[in-house]
Amino acid sequence: VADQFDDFEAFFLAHRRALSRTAYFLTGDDDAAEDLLQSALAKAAAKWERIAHTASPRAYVRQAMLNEMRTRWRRRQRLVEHALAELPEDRDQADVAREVADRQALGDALRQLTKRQRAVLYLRYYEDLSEHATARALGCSLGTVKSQTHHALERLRAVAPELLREQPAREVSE
Amino acid sequence: MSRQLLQTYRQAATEVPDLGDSRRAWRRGRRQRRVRIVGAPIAVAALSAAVVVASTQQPWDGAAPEPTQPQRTERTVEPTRSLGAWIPETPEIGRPAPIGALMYVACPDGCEVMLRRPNGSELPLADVAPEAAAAVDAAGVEAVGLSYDGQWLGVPDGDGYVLYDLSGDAPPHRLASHDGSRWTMVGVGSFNWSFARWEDGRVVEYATGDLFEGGGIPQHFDVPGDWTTRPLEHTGDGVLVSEPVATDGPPSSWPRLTSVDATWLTVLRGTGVRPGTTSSSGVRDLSALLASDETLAGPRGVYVERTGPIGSAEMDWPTVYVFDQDDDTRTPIGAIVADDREPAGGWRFAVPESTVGDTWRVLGSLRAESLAVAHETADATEVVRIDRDGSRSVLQRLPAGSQVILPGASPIG
Repeated sequence: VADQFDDFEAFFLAHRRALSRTAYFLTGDDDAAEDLLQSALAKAAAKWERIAHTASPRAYVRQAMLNEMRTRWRRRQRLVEHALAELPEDRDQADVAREVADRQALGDALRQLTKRQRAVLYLRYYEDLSEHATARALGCSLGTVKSQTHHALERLRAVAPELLREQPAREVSE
Repeated sequence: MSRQLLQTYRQAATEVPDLGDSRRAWRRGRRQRRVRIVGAPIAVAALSAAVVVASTQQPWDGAAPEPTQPQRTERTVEPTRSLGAWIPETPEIGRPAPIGALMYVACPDGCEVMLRRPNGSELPLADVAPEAAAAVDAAGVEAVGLSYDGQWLGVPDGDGYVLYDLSGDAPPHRLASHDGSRWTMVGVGSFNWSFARWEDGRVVEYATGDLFEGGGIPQHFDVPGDWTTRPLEHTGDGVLVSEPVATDGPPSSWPRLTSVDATWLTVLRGTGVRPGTTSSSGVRDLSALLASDETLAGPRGVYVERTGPIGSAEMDWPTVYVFDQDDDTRTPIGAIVADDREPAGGWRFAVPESTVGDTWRVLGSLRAESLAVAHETADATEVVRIDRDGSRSVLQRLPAGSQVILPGASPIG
């Protein structure tokens, strides 16, 4: 058992960064991301003997998080969408520019989306999946991916247009 | 558009904190797995109960006496916030908790941690120590240790370890860890317990807490960087390690434990000259008491408990756990009491063999001549005392699937 845990922990440490990002971009919130990742890791732990030697335990955990999100939106436990009017109307453009570099800005914006919209955007634009692959990952139709992508981008343009402006590149480590 | 959004994601990605806790996830996942695994055989057993009962695999060996029932097993909750509400106050050093006192939780999620008295009455741990109860709930009861006298509760907290005084006299004491390291419990003795801090697969620090003199606050002993020690046994006043237990004099004279392979627990010589280690001597070859697929070395070292009260004749009879080696898994299946007066070096408790829906699991030693095991059926978890002569008696009957912690027993495996 100790050896299995060591194996599991080694996997976790090797992929923690990537899995943390996935969880965060699917939720837009630190606490919710923590819960989502923990839940997926526990599922992996329960089946570790079986998945440890598969091609990609990380893919299993990622898919477990996507499944969990899918389950949640099917339960219609959507987050309350804040009205655009609730956002500050006289935001200083310099402040906005500074915020763009902050993940909090993206988190705030992502929380304006539905869970399904967040998942679609994450898969399409961060993981760079095709529409077909995104549909397969989320277990939905191609039409749903297209419509959710459209609505998500429209929403982002409305609540956080600065996120869609090109920014100076920054080195990203795995 | 896609390039801009990807850029935004990547910039934000650099600032996402490291999330997740592998240890907690592992515990949670394995508990879920255990429930599923246990549940399936129970269902099978229920369907074929008549066949099983009629077969030669009787739940109790016909040659052994039938178990006696506990005097009272009804739940009588008495919420009183003091240690004395659970077990008698034990100011005497080395005095054990009475046989039959234990801690348990009836289900992995959502059940209260309960303190059960020998007479079968019980109370929630939260009534005695709310903070400790919350910590156990978060960590999982299988990871905690309870001191020999029942006063101190050790609970993992992330990579650290917290000691709670159930009498309420002392504040919780935390064994703080460092990045990338974690504490594990090595063992509980009659008047202290020991911990090891692991870092990159090796022990870098030991801590031994005197439960009386220091109020549970451990003394720390750093392990020199060139030592590759592993904790081998908790010895009652320290930890015996696998490499030099003292470095005074020329290396050839260093006391050291030379072998902890499958069947031997061998100390060539030891004089107990270093803090955190102990005197230990003699050669214990227990191979005569082990089958070919059994070992004394568990996942975190050799598990040895000394459970006799200080000053008693039982005190120097260590109980060593026996593990079954099945592939990569080592499961505690029995115990040997090392006794130099015995030709085989000790004697072994006969733990009944588990069958589907009827399993036996070692919990810990009660005294030198008795062992506690959990007998799990579809109906209940019985805590059974097995004595040296093979006689058995039911100490407690708990809800099916209960997890049990005995005073003086550290997590095994």
